[in-house]
Amino acid sequence: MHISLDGFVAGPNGEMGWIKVDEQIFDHVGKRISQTDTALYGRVTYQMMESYWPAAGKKASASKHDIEHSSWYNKVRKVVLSKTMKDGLTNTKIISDNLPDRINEVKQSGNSEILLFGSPTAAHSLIQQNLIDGYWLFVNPIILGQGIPLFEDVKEKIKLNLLNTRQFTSGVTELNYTVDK
Amino acid sequence: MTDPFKLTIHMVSSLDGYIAKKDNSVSWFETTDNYERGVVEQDPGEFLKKIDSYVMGSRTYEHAVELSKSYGWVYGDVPTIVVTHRDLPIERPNIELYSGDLSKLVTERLKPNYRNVWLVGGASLTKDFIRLHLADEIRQTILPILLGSGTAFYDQVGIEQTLHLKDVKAYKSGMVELCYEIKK
Repeated sequence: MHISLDGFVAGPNGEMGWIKVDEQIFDHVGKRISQTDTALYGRVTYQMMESYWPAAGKKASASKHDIEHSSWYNKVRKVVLSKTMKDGLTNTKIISDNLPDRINEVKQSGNSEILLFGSPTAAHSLIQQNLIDGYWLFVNPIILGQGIPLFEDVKEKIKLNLLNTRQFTSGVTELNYTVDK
Repeated sequence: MTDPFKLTIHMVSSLDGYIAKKDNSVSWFETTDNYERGVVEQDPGEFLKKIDSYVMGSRTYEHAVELSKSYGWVYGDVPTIVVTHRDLPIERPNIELYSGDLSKLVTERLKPNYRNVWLVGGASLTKDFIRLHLADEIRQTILPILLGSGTAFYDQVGIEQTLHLKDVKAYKSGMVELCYEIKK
């Protein structure tokens, strides 16, 4: 998740132009997600991904990152939190109710960690139901001033353990935590 | 050569950006995390010696006075300016009250007298200083915890402000200190 220093994942209207990603960050992120067989999205983010990534690697202008990520995206098992979408898509599972049980089934059926990409609304539900095991954050060097927060209505205190931090030349800081359960 | 004037916003917060719990308790500052690769907390003495003035809001001051009954006054003999419209009791000779224009506070009161000023809270004063472009640096220490509720450090600042990352330090306690220059 990319966040601003004041804890927003997007501007008030979903703006994400402030997020700094470059080759250095793409490479770093790419290493971890290549080990991941399950990607989790909210409906809005999933639809954004779906409209771009399946074909992004085949474009003439595709960068190394586009090709790698497109190929990973097409392979990875996708889980989407949505009340309106229906099951039946290839390699894609829809979760529409009973979040704790469904998520635990997904956790047990995979061979790797499950990564949630963007998807602030899905993140809020998962955090509130204590279904998140770790936070992988990229803190961008900006105060947005207003927007959609990553953390919302966290019900009670949650202790974390710092796994590692890393500074990127763009001024982005990676913070990696596990939830102390 | 004297250092240029610098006003630093300093705050210790939870990962979700809270600087105080609703009941003002401070026990959550004690982390149980152990980050092997972290650096050992330095003796803050040398570092803190370089700060020649503190600025804080009235509720931060009242909270510090309350805490001083159990833990002592943490800001020592360093001149401390409390920004308030209220006539608060002053319990120490190095504390003065200031009410009025914040730009004048910086240009007329702080700049001629001090080099290394720390603004230590609270949220609304921090917001004013960012909005008025009066601060030069943000030094935010993030504790490995989500609090869920309390006083937010960034209380909907309202303006976008670009920062320049200067330094990151991770401590053995799992605290991460991020230091940014505020681009003007």
